[in-house]
Amino acid sequence: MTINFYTVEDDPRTVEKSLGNSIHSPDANIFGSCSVKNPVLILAYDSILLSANYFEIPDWHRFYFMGEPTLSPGGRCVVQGRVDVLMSNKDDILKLDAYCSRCESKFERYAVDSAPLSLVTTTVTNLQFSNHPFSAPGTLRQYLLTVKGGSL
Amino acid sequence: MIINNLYPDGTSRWWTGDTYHQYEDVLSETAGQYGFTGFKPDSYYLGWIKKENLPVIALHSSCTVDDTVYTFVEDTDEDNFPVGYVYSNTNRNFMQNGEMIKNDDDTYSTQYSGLCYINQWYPEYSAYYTSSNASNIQIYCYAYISDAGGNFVTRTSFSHSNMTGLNSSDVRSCYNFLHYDVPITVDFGSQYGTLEFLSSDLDEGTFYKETSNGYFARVFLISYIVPSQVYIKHATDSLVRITQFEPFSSITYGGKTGSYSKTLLYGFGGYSGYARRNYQNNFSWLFVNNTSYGQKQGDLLVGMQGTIDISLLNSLHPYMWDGNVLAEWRQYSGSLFEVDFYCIMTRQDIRKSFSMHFRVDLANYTKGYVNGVTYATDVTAQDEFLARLKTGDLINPEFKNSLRPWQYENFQENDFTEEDVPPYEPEPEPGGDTPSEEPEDMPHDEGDPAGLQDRTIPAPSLFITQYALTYEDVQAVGANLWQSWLTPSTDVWKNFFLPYSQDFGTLNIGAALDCIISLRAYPFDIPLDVLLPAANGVRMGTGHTDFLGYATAKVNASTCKIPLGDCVVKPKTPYEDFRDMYNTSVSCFLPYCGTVELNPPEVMNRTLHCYYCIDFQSGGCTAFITLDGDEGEYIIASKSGQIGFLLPITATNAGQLAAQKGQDAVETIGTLAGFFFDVAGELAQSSENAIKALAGIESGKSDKDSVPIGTTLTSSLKIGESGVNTGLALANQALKRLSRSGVGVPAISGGSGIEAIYAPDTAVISIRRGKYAKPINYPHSQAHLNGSSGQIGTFKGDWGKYTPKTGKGLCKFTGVDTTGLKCHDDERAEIVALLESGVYI
Repeated sequence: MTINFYTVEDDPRTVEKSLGNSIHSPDANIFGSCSVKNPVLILAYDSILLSANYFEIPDWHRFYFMGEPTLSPGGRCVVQGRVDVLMSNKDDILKLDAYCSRCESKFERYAVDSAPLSLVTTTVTNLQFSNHPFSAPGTLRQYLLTVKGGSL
Repeated sequence: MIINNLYPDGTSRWWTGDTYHQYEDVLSETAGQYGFTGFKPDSYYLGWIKKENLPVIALHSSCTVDDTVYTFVEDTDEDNFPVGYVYSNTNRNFMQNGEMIKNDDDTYSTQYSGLCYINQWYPEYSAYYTSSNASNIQIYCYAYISDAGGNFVTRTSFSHSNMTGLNSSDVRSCYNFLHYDVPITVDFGSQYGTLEFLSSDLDEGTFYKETSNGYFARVFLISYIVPSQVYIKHATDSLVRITQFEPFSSITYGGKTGSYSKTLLYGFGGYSGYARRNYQNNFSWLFVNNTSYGQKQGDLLVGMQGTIDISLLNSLHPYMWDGNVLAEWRQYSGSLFEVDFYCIMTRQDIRKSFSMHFRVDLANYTKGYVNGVTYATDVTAQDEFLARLKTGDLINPEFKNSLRPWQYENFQENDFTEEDVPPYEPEPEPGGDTPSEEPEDMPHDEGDPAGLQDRTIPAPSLFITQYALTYEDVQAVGANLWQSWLTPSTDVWKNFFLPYSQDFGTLNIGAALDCIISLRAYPFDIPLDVLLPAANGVRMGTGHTDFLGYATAKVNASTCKIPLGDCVVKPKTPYEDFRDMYNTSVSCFLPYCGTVELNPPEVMNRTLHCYYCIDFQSGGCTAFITLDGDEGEYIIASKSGQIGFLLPITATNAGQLAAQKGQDAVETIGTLAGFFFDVAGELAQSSENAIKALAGIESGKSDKDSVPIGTTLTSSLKIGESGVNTGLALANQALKRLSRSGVGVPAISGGSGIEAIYAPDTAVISIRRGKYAKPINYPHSQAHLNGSSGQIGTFKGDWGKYTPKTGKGLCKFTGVDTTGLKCHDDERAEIVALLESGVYI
């Protein structure tokens, strides 16, 4: 089977990681026992393995976080992996129904949230209405002279 | 500033003259018409300028080949201008109210038909109507054309004819919807120069189609000077001269007909007819720099039109923001040019450029100066971004601007800097089963809305007359009252002593004074819709004497309503949460009335309207603040005050004013101290001892300075003209014992004192909110409260502004239903734990 090694920068908590192109894709065979969840791989040494931190075993449909590789005699490199359950099941995870308690970009604006820090200062914003009809009486028709009669 | 034709993909597509380039979506070309189909949201024609998230389009008037409804809309912020109706030749939906069609969820429809609304960046876009017959409407529009390099080439026009089936009301509505600003030039002769403005600057100005040939342009202008000629700019840049002036006497306006003196009030309208005058054919396009400009928050588009001397125009350029000016000037005659220029400036630049330059140099120009541009002298008001400069006093300064800024309304100020918080964006749709944008328990539209009724009370015009005068008119009446009797007359004794002279039909001075009830000054121009002409000047009583000497106007209603317009209370908390509501206070200062507190949950993110209801009989006013409900506006706050200032011109007036001031003072103090007065102004029995104690007057005794010794203050003591001294003395005594500021100053909160004119006269809504410490990368490290359910994948959002590095955002979930997971059991548990602790999707 083929193992694809990657250098991944995403946070381990990222569901769908950005893999980019595989940096090393050696073939491998299983000899003896091998855990699917925490496999230990014995590979031919290749310096590029030292820059990988993530690998995929397509046949097992799983992705793994890669631990520190151990160089062993005989030109070998021992690689330990820990299954990344998020990436391995990303399609199913994204379809799960759940209650979202917090979300970075979608939120209920007016829900009480105790997480942010407390008040620091008070700001005042002044807004005006769109019309400003008032001004000091000047030369316009702004004086009302009320008289008795005079309707003629 | 991008001039024309820069499409989202950066390519240029141009119109030249009457032909157009074959675009991918253009299917056919018919002589005299231009057809398009398949408008796409990212495709624009004829030119396109994008300002932030406000793409606008100049649309060719003939844009249909079939009945396809063409669409585009990008900006969904309702506070921006409507962008882009596409006219459908056969679908006349644009003739409706001209509003963007909204979907049920309040987003703007991406498919609709309507007439194109030209973007505000085009210096002169005009579309209007003329008809050769009652049923044939033509639309003209034009736009600036540049070459591929962005250099200006020409200006082209398009026309579409044969829009049948329309009538004058359709034209009117469409005209108004278009915000069609008809440039109007008023020439007052060589002594006063010319004034140019746009029809939208006028208080009342309409254009509408006549049923006969040509179109009728009606312009209402109050002028002290009779203009010699008036021009309306035709879309083809020629000037259409108003050849026939109709004085108000023959015009029915607002349902009222009448005549006005031409010396004081001159209105005119006219037929454009076929008399046209072209400018001298010296067109020059002055391009300072037409490179693109990266707009930033706080930038403003300033566009102005007016007449200006070429040397002044050229000298302005150093003050303009470099590289962002489009100026079009046409030589009118000699060194006088008509100019339109547009640029992008910050508020500071506007004040700096226009104030510094215009105020100093314009005085040297006796002709061709910028008329009517006024300058905002309040350099501290960040919201005052209109550069307005008052010219000299040659023209009535109340003429609307000749140089008028373009499209400054609805500009949303954002007082956050870019490095502060992300720009405010409309709340995106939550995923899944989401709560409503406004929770159902918000008291927005509960109950029957109660708004202001559209009604008035007529003035008792047969009993009294209220003349609406200018200050000069007031002086003239005063002069005629007190100085005219000095004019020798053989019958002076009759005129002076007899109340009424039947021989001469005149009213003598003494009787005239008895007829005067009051003179009040109002801080606003009496609205035209409550005015009637008073052709015979100012008369009093039953006399025929005209104490003014010329025609004037009178008020035919006891009340009027003055709208202060709208104000949107925008939530601004950068984290957009409950603090917009519950740690925020909103108040509104209402000029001449006072301050009212508003309920933030009720007004946040709502548009407030303000109206002043004026009582001409007493000079009082009540300010109302309303909100829009499902069934119309409803009142949420009101406050009363005094807006008509009594100017005592008779002894009775003076006594009344003093009494009223005393009453106000006492009532103000009394209100604060919990006293109350009954209708007659008498102290209520229970307040008697309290106010006496407040004034330091022992029961049974009196203030020696005001009331005769031995007088007992009782509830029957009235604060009236005869008791002015008593009331004032009480007030003065009480003032000494009350330390609260503002006591006894009715001017600030209302009252009859003329000193109230010094109070602020602008309604202001003040929002006091907390400014919170910004955690570093808060949204990405904490995320916001969501509180909705749905598929996990639907909570993806536009992460770009928050997590530009990874494009993924933080989400936390609970109550995960793992149905559908095909992993092992321990993996399932780990997945749930990770989802609850937070993952990036």
